[in-house]
Amino acid sequence: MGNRPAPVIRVATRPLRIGTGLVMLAVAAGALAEAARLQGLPGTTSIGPGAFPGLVAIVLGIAALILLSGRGDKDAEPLRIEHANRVLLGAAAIVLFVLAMAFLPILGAIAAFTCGFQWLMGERRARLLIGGSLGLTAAIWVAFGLLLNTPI
Amino acid sequence: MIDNLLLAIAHVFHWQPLLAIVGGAFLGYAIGALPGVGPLLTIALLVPFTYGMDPATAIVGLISLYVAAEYGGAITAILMNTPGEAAAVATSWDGYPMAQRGEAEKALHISIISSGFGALLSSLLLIITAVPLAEFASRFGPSEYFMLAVLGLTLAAGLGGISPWRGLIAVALGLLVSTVGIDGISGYPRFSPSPMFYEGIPLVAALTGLYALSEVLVMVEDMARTQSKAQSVGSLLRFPLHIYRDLIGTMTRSSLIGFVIGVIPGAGAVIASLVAYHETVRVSKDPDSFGKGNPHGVAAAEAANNAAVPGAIAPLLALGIPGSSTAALLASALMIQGIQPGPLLFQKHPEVPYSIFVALIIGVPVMVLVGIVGVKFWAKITQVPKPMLAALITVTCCIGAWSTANDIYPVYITLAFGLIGWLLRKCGIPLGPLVLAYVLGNMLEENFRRSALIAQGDPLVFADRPITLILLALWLFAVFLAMRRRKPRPTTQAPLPR
Repeated sequence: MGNRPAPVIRVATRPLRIGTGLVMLAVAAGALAEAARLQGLPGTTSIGPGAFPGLVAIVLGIAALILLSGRGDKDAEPLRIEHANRVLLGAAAIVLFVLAMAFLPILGAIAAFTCGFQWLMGERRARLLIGGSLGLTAAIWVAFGLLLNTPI
Repeated sequence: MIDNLLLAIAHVFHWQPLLAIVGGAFLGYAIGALPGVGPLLTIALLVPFTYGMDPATAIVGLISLYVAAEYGGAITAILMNTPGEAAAVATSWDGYPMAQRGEAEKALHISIISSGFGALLSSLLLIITAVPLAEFASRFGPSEYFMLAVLGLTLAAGLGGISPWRGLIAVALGLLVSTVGIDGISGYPRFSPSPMFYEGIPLVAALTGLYALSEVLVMVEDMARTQSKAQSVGSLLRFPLHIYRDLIGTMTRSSLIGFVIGVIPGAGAVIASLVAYHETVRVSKDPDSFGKGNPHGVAAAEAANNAAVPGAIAPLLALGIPGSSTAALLASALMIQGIQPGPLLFQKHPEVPYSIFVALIIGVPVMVLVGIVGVKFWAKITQVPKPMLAALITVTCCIGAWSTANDIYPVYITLAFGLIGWLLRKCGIPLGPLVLAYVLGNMLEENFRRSALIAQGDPLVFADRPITLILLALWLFAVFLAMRRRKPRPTTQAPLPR
């Protein structure tokens, strides 16, 4: 990484609050639309399957609107992601690992992930990269494969 | 009650539950001592292991681990000024200055004994209160349960985040997630774009993602920071016990505070330790010495945060309402075994709550012994490289989710909830109220619909009986408290774990 400062993502409190509020408002609107679509069984007196989620969606919408207004939100902090490139790499490695679990032998995926992930996170000691990877894979095999009979 | 306790003693004194208690204590220390890895994450990772176990054995192992991990955070707080978890922040205020002036062993000894004392006193209070409370709650109808769950979620929303509105958003999100899947009454699929969602969002996979996988991303961000080195410690075996004559008052008061605060949903060990610490400073004749290495500060914080553990279990067992996020995970461990926590637990599965009582009474001395004997080892564990730790947590999360159905679908859920959980944390939406709402969601909806059916749509059903009226009054008080809440200000330059 050299001496260059690590990339940092910053979002100030106000735009973060507005962004969060708008996303929550959209979730509430989507949930309310889905709840309205759900009708109760015809001829029954019980309330329908959409009533409870509809009520919750209204509560979410109200809370999102209050958040947007900024009321009672004095202690909110800005968003700050340090080492954003590393976080992105880490998240991508985890996504790849999950995809590899679906398509490759699981133990192989574990060994490759534990070695690669440690390297991506800055570990350069070979004994920890290789030994740690093999050790963790063996531990997972014992814990899940042998003790829990999970087919891995 | 005595018969059930005797049966539970007979059940616990078999090699499997005893192994679960001892193993839980070891694992709790080992994981709790790692910076950033608290009891919540540990239990989230280990719940999948309990699938094939006897429910009582599984729960006593997890509770033993919970108590030990709650203490484990104090080791790094004292030796490295890096609390292993948020509940140990107040411990570092006086524990680290003690270590700096060469009293690391004394600080560790006080923290272990105070933790054990707090957990034991609180366990006795749990045993005394849980059974009468459950008997009282067995008279509750659907409207009482609905109001009780609403009260619990209101407290969690009010106390769990930086503002009550953010807490309310978290609660609403948790409740919405709980409604995914086929509706049990009408048979309609809700919020289910494909058949794989018909059975709902798998609880364990979602909770593992929210707590454990999101923590990995937080660790990745912190990875570049230089890990401070823990100082070496000597043996604690021959430590004089006379120092506790002076501390017993602080330990007792803090344990009582810890138990009471632990019972309140959303409050938990963090608030318990802060309140007990501030109360100890308030009543002290020498308040200026706090923050500079006063043993009373360590004793207060540790007694309170461990006392909060049985406190959080009390409403879970008696009412079915978890007192903390970790207790919500314990509830999920019972629910995946088909056991619903609540007053009926004492009638349908008495072996579970009574085994928990016995396990706490046996487990606390085991925890103290394991802590004192193994202190040098626990101090060394703090040095596990973060990249390896993050890789281990990720793999355990994903394989744990896989093992719940031997399928990739729960792993996708874990991944999705891990990313969502990390984003929510970054946006200031607390995860605790979300998880509490998710665990309570089905119970809340079921009782809401049953109440509405009985009342034929009359909303006064939630205020027409003495118990519902009392719960309604408590709810209004909780709303009032949430609106007036101010963020607690730490007394010193406390390093708060992320």
